[in-house]
Amino acid sequence: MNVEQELRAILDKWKKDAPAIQPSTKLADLEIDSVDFVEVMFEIEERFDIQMSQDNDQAQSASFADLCAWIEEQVSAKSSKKAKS
Amino acid sequence: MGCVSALGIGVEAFWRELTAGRHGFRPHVPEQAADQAERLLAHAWDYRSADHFSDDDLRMLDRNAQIAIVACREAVSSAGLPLGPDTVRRTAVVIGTTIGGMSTLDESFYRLYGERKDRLHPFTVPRLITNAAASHAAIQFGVTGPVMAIASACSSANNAVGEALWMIRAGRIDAAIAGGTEACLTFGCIRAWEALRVVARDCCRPFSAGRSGLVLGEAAGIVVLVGIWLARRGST
Repeated sequence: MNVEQELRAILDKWKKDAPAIQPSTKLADLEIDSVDFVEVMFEIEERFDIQMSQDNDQAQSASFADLCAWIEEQVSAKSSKKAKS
Repeated sequence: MGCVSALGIGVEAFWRELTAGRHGFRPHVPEQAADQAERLLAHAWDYRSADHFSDDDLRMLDRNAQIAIVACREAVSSAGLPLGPDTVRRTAVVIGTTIGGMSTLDESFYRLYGERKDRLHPFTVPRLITNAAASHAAIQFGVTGPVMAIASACSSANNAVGEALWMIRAGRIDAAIAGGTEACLTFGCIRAWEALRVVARDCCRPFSAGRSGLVLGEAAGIVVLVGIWLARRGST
């Protein structure tokens, strides 16, 4: 499973009745309340073993594609750091 | 009144066991105990979180707050406390606790220092802070009057009831949900008390000439206090 598929699986679990996720879908459109949203961010960090530096507002206004790109960037930075050490 | 204790869930069970001369202390090996030695403890043995809360509720609630809320529900229900739009503003929740969400703190520290993980669950703070029980109880009942915790060691619950009483007498509120809660029987907390060398070798016998110390337990006890003017309206 790649980042996009795994992220979609996480968000699908939390979004309840919101419309299907498209690359341009903003996280704010997923109708996830603010309490659940911090758990979503935690779950993403746990799953990919990364630290999301974006605050809640930045993350809410990001699109699904943005979020995939952030995660891929961090995962790849982490792998190259590991390879060097 | 409402309570959760080693003698059972609810005031009826508590009073029945107490008046039959039974105590709730049992030898028990604490979870994570490296020495696997039994200690005399008073867990709320019959308490099961799933009997009282949904998984969704439990995300935010340490055991400390859970047992307090269960006791609050019983107290509010048995008092018939009216919690309508005109009374919630003039009702307080004052709950004494000394340590707060010790299980959450213990698990979080283990995760950081023991498992070397680098992140904690986002609800770690709302679960562990000392006022969590009072705040979550207030949310549960829609109380918008004064909501606070009193932390004064073993007298926390008594002070909470006393402060609630004075708020009623001063005319600041008409009613209060008040009492105490503590659920800190983690191995780390038990060892800390043992280090103080005040834990009894045999059993808890306060005021006895042959007493040897205290025995640790967990419980919540809540009362509803109502000002005479509200009580005379006949709603409680």
